[in-house]
Amino acid sequence: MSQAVSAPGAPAEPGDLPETRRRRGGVVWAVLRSRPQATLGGAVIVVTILIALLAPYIAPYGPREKVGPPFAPPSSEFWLGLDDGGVDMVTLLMYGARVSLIVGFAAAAVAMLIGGTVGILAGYFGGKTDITLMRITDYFLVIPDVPLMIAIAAIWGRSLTNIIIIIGIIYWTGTARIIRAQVKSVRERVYVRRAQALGATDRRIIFRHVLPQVAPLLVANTVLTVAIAIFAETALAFLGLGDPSLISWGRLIENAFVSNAITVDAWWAIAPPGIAVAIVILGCTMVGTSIEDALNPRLRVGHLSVRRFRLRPTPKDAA
Amino acid sequence: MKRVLALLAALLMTALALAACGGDGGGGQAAGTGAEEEGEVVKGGILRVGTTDGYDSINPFVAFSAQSYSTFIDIYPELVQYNADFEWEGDWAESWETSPDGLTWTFKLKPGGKWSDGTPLTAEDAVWTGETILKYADGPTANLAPFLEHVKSLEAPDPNTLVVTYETPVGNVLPQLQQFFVLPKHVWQKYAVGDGKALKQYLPEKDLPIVSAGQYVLTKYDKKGTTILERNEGFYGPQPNADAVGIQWFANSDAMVTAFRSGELDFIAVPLTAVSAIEDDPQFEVIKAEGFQINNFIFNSNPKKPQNRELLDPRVREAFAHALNREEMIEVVHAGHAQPVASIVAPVAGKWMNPNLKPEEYDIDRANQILDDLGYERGSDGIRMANGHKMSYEIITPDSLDGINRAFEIAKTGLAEIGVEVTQNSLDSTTAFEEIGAPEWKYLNFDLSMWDWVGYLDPNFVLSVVGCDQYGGWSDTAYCNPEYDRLYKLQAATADEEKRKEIVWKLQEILYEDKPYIQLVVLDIVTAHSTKWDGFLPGGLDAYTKRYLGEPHQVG
Amino acid sequence: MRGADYFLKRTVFALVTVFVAITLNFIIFRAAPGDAVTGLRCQFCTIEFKDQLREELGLDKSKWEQYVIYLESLAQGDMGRSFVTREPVLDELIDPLLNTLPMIALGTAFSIVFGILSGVVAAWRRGTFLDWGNLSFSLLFYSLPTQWLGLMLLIVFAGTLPASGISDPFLEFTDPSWWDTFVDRLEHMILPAATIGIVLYGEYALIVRSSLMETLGEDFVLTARAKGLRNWAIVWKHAFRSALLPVATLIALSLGYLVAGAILVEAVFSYPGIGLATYDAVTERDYPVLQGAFLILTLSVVFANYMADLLYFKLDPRVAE
Repeated sequence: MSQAVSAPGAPAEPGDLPETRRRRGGVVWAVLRSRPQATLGGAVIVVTILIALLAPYIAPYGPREKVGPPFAPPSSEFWLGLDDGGVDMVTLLMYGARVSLIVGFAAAAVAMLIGGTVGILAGYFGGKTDITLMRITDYFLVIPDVPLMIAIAAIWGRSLTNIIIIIGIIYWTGTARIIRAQVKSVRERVYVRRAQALGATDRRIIFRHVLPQVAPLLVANTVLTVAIAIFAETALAFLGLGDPSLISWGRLIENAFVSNAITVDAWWAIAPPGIAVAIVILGCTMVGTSIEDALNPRLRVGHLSVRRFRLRPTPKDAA
Repeated sequence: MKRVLALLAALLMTALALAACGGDGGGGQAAGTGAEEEGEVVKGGILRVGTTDGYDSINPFVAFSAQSYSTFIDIYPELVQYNADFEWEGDWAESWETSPDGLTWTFKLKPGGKWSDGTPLTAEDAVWTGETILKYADGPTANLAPFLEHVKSLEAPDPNTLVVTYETPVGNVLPQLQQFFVLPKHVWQKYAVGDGKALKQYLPEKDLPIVSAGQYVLTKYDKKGTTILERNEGFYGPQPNADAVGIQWFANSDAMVTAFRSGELDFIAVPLTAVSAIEDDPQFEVIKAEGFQINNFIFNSNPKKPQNRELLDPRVREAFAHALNREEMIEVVHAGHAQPVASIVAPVAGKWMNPNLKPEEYDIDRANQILDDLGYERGSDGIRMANGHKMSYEIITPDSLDGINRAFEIAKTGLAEIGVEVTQNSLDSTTAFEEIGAPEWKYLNFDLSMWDWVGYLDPNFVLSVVGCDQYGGWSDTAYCNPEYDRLYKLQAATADEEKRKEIVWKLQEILYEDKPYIQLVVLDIVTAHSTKWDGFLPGGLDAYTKRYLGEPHQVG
Repeated sequence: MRGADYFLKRTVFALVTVFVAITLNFIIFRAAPGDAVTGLRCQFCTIEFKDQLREELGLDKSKWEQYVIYLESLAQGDMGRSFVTREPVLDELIDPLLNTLPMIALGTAFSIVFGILSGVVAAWRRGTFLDWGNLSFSLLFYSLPTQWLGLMLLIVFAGTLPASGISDPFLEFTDPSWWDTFVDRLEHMILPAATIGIVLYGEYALIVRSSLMETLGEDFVLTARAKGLRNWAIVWKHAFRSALLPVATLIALSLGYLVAGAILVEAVFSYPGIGLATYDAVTERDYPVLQGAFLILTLSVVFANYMADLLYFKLDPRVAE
């Protein structure tokens, strides 16, 4: 890692970016290039996105096209066999990527917007704003996520938009916490104080000074949230609450479950979607944690658990 | 560190201890099953049945589910039942005779029957049950009232004789009375007061074992788990071979089939897609039988519907019929275990089904021809225009129907080829039914649906669902044809079977021409049992005879 | 006293959160537009039944009055009655809760033991193949969708182990001994517990590893080394205790999470725990049970957080500053 990430004991503050690399994403790109874990993860994500975009062109058959008997085993014609409707699994995986990725990225975007805003406001303004916002965050942290999701999905209905919103409003808290901690430390920097002394408005400071410093962390966190969102979508689909007209990886798993794939030993209908999900989640996790690690090697392990439960603030970042 | 380990160890111990005695499953110790448990004896033992069809209630005035009705057959007396050859025999009745005018039926009842709490079973119980049902027929007992339609009175001249008098001749007395469950008066009479609402609110499962007089007593009830029926020593008829029957509910069929295959169950109805896997296994025997469930395609036939009125045209409906690929549905959705049908009356009903009606041929060209002739031209996107709007509709489907999503896909593909676009609105069954009836059972909103009907051996019920009086009742088509209704009432009152058959055939013909439904396929019923047991009747008879759960026995 | 202060603060926070949880529970399920009963769909939900239910639930009163009534009944342990079975909600949920707890404990125990072991080994042998292999494994297991993992286990073990339920319902007819019952329960619990265990194992291993890696870089370890202590001794005696902080709280927290997250596993295995009960309540629109389940789940997370806070303090009193 050639960039000036602080080594233990260095005088610069953790997470500090050298002035020459103000461009947003500079660190991100550097990390992706130099750390093998991140490169691999990034490659995985890119390949998946490409497959999703190109699905209509590169898929061997149609996504609803019956090309053989139900649950036909893998063969040279159908590399991963057929599902319960006689549709080619490879094709389904490719088309499924589209919905799963859309949900993943869109929901993560929603979470990032909410979480980022809350985190920045709380960290920058401090005081009462901070306390109120953090209390709200704490409450959201405590609500059991999957039960809330299924309750809302059942009440609001099962469209794609709803699912994206539901996932987004449940998982923004991790982002909020981390961004807040970062913003707090950035706020105390010399140049921010200088800007304030010069009379710059809060808005200007936030957008021109705070945001760029926080951006890489935000990116890292969003990538991790994508992983969570994809996972949440599979959970919802499995419980029968996904959008019924859409093919997603989660839906493929659910389909196999309800059409007795296990009884007829059709592992090819169940295994591939799960593995696909795992690979993408893995990729996102690797990229996200690599960036976070690079930004702050002392950053506590909280980030690894953003996916499922939320670690209490440790003494160092609760400040 | 040590403390943490100790804590962990304690946790583990607690976990395991809780595992042993906490939670559900341990309750309901059998109050003495009595008979021998194992050994070389053929009789005895517990028949372990698996089902994915749950109970919705064990109160006969509330229950709708097939599983509940099956159990009522076992625990309550019925006058008559079918035997394995679909012929009539007496259950509680030893013999019966009809008066010359066909209005009075006298049943001689088998003596010596006792309710499981020791109270003697007499004709009084039948009289009380019948009168209560009739009294509240417009309200709390509406579910069971149809089976006593046109009954004027019930009398018990002596404890073992029941006289049922009808106000007009009825064509299907025995099939109707076969579903007439006799309830214990001494248990239920306190709820038949005032407006009778208490009848529906009583939860029999609170007073286990349920007071029963059938071949079994219901001793344990668990909608989400296992319900147990135990032999009733005071039964008036032949004792069942098994000591007890356990009916275990599974949330999904994979779990049930897996349990069956690993020997945890003795008898299941096999999901059609799993049949081939079970057939090949020598430890199991598979019984295939004609079924009662017909999946269909529904048109909103309300003449007052404001939109998409082209769907009321029988020619449009015919075009649709030629676009629905029944063969593919049979292959893909039901793994080959289904037959194409044309009538709402299933083939298993024997002579009652009209054999002259043939399922429409899957013929895309013909379908296109019909729509072309009607002048519905295709737009640039391939979808036809009718009366100034696109032929694009929503199909309501209940998510509880097995394979419905696949069936919908097949319908969608076929319809797309004739220039009709459809989208699926998948809802839970209660909501789906409400959507069909929307608004407020006026049936003005919906266009299309895909659902099913499960008929009886006697066609009376399934022919009734399209009556004008069924708005807000059973109707899912809003079909209303006064001529049909007239003929329907006529067949119900015709005692001569041949004459009745003609009318029944005519009714099916009318429906075939008007096409409120396109009847698609009838599903086979496939059951399987382990070779350790034998004596099983074909599937589907569970609601028609006590023999279904009475005859199976262990093999020596 | 610093400790007592902290203790007090945390307790107050927990209680406040409980109160907020209760209130929000009320808002989500009662104050939403249209009352819970209009949307109710069930077989016997006639207009009369719904009206009667409205009266029973006090839905004809103002929202504020309803809220007060709700609080009062909660104080008495009354969570209302299920729409479906008309039994008290608490009665309906106790058994499922007791079913879920041992299953989760078993799974958690599994993951803790293996997670800690592999995490320590990996940190100790940092940079070697063992570390890398362990890291990959952990990441992989961490990324697998829970329900999918359950299905995979089902495929592999169907036939050897029961595929569903919590016990053999017919066992009681063969007059089983205490041991028989215990084994039966255990058999039914293994697969769901293993699923949870595997998924959590990944997380634990990763976290222990990271945490331990940091600790090993700190000064006191350097000192120990300088004193000539062996690697083995250093790792176990000094570093481990320090690394225990996040791990300990992780354990407390996951108990809270797991009770909520067990839904997926219980759905796959038809295991009648609180997760499945919640899911059933949703599909059956049984709002009182759903509300009750939510409350229980939320309370358990609050409780677990609270325990975590206390544990944190016990292990590292500096946290109270």
